[in-house]
Amino acid sequence: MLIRSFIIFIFILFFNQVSKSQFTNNEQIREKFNYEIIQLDEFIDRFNFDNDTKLLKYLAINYPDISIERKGFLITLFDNFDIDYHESLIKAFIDFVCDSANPQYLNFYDFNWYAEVNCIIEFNQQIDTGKIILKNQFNNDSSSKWVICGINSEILELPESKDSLKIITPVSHGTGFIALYDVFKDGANIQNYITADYSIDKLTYFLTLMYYHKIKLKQVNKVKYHFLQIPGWAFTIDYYNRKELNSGWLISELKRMSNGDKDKYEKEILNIHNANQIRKSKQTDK
Amino acid sequence: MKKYVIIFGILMWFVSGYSQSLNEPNLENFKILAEKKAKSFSVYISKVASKSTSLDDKEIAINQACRLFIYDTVTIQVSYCPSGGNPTVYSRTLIKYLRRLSMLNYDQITIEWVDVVMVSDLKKGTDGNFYGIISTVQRFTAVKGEYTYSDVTVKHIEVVLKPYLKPNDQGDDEWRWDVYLSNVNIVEPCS
Repeated sequence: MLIRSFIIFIFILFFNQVSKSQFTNNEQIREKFNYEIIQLDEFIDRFNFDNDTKLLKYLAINYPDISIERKGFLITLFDNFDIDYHESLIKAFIDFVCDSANPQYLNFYDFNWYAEVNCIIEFNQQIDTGKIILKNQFNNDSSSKWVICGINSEILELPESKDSLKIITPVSHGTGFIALYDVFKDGANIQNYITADYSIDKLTYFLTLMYYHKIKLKQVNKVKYHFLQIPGWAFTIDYYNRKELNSGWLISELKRMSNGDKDKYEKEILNIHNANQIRKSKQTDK
Repeated sequence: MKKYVIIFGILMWFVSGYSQSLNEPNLENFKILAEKKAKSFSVYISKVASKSTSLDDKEIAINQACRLFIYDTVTIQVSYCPSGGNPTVYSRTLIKYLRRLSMLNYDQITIEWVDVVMVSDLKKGTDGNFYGIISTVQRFTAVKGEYTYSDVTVKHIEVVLKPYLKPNDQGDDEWRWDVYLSNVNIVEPCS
């Protein structure tokens, strides 16, 4: 059994490592097209070892004698070139996912997975990169749509105050807070007038700017997906646009992660608005 | 009381008629139709780009290609990877993309779609339409004098399955479904 799995592993790995620097004929183009994970949906199908994936169909036609198992197939989902390879971690992950008693699958309608859109945005004649986080929000009738649930950009940070001496004095109440007229004209020192425990809700700020057409999307640079739904694990996938067969949407990072760490990841790395409430409602739904 | 029963009856008749006319589409059939439309698009763009097509025939092919799409203002995005440089993304409306393609300055242009596949199931949107993605791999070859340019690109075409009203033989409006092509994203491999 082990030898068989090993042969399959070598087979898959070999085909993934073959470099096609030039496509000289249509058969080579077709081969590359069938190996490359060209869409997110295809990544999910391959992860689930769904017979409908174009690679399995292609292998069944062109290599009918080869038997492929899920474990060997999952290895092809990892970026073989750039990933900081920890074979034991990958093996542990694949063993967990393929556990015969409790196999793990991905579903497009899962909670706990997010798209990160890296883009260039312009606000007030200032250009900066930004990260827009989206999730697929679905209804009981299985209709769904992508919705924005987080945003991060330096443009959305409040500037440091220029003059720390500008304050609303402790006796301002005595004059009916007339000082507020000055505060409204003093955007440069806005931090001085806000409570110390306040952290800006960037999503609301972003939506307000969008509503008033004050912010522009200049370009989408890159998309990345964060999958947090496999218990005890989290991974990201990136699109590798290259000529090798090991290309397309591949796992770029894999981590062991507890539920607590996932909460932190959603809040601090993805900047998801109301991350904790989202997890609570997920637990209620399940 | 009788009045309310009649009103309720009329309401039920409307509701049942409406739900009957909005039957869920046969998604498998529409997946096949979507692939056929995508292949038709490849025939039209090949015709539009070809130097052996007359200007009049190019115009006809452009119009026919546009009819496959939900709007002629959908976005066609092209990414370009210059050697040693950062990838650049261009977005054009369908009509501008096709007109530009018809005017490319080469002696001979060949566009061939090597493979076409629907890579995602049609998914229901909250607007009632269904959406999917068709991916194709295209081989583009252009010759100018002694110089030959060739590239292989993957195109992702969004597909929209949308209901529309059409009068039947009795002159009553009936809901029907049709599938259209929409935004296109093109990725050139960066080495």
